[in-house]
Amino acid sequence: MSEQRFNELRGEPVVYAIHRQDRTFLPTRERCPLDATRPGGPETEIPVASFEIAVFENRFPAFSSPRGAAEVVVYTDDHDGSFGTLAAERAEALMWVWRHRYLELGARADIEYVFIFENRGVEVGVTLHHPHGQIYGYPFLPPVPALELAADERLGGCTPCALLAGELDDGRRLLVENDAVVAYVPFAARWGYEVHVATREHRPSLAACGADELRLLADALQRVVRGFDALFERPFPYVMAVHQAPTGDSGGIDAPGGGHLHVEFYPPLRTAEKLKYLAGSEQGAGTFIADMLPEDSAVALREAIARAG
Amino acid sequence: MAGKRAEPGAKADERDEQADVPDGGGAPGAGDLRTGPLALERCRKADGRALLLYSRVEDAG
Repeated sequence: MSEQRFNELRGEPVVYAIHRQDRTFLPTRERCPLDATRPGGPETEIPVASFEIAVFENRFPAFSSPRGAAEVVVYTDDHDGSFGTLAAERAEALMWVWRHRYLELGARADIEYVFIFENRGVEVGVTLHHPHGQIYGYPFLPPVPALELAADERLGGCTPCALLAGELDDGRRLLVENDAVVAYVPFAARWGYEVHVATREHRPSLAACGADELRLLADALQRVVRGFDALFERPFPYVMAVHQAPTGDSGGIDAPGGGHLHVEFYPPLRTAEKLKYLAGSEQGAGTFIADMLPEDSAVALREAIARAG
Repeated sequence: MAGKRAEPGAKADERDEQADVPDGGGAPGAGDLRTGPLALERCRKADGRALLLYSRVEDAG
């Protein structure tokens, strides 16, 4: 069981999950715990011979019942795949899995916020290379979604709706558009190649999306990720964060103004070989010092997305 | 692999629920747990942790 403390100086919770110190760390290809279990072979986390998408409770959870949840979402039984290389139908299916987990975890009384994310690459701390993501069910509203709700209060409406309208009006940072979603480098991106993917319509969560929107969201996300990989012609590390409405008292799955579904990518690379580190200004003062303008990043990413197809 | 089910002899046990009815989506409310074009098989691992297996249903709308 994790221990939660409150950092008064920062005004934020800190979670101590000391059992995670011993979690599986970069196992060999043959010992991947996210592979299907081969007949006659050692049992993995998924004790079936093949599967499409599997979700299981994390063996080393940051949160667990009755104070939250931590799940692993395995996208495929193909160890060498990635989110970007999934068949379109599988990526679309993943959106339905995300939606289902949001609804089911969000209905629990001990979960205030359902956070779906993917860490890709050792640069962002990945310990297993098999294509997968995670879901945390927080027993409290974490600081970032709280800031987003505060922005709505400050601006008197849905901030992602306003930001998207601004991006569409400006046009210089747009990357991918379809009938349901828009991908862009945000005006005030903190990371060099930060990308946001937002629904055109105000949808608090995946639960409010129709089948076509889910399919088009998957398509846009895959195009962005394939563009990332094409940018420097290497697997591109990132954190992918799905932002949705809180599910506890502070919001609610059906809350019309409690959030706007959007997916944020935080890639740590600023060149093919150089990482952006969170150093003095970022950690000590909370101010990102960026090395490139979002407009220039968008030009490079648009070209990469076009190359990747 | 579309429509493939978990191996009958797999060690996952307590397969306690079959798929939600695929319906092609919509704009559901909070209590809606549809899985769209997917079948869901709920299992429990030997150590008690939940395992959910999602697979695409053939001919889903």
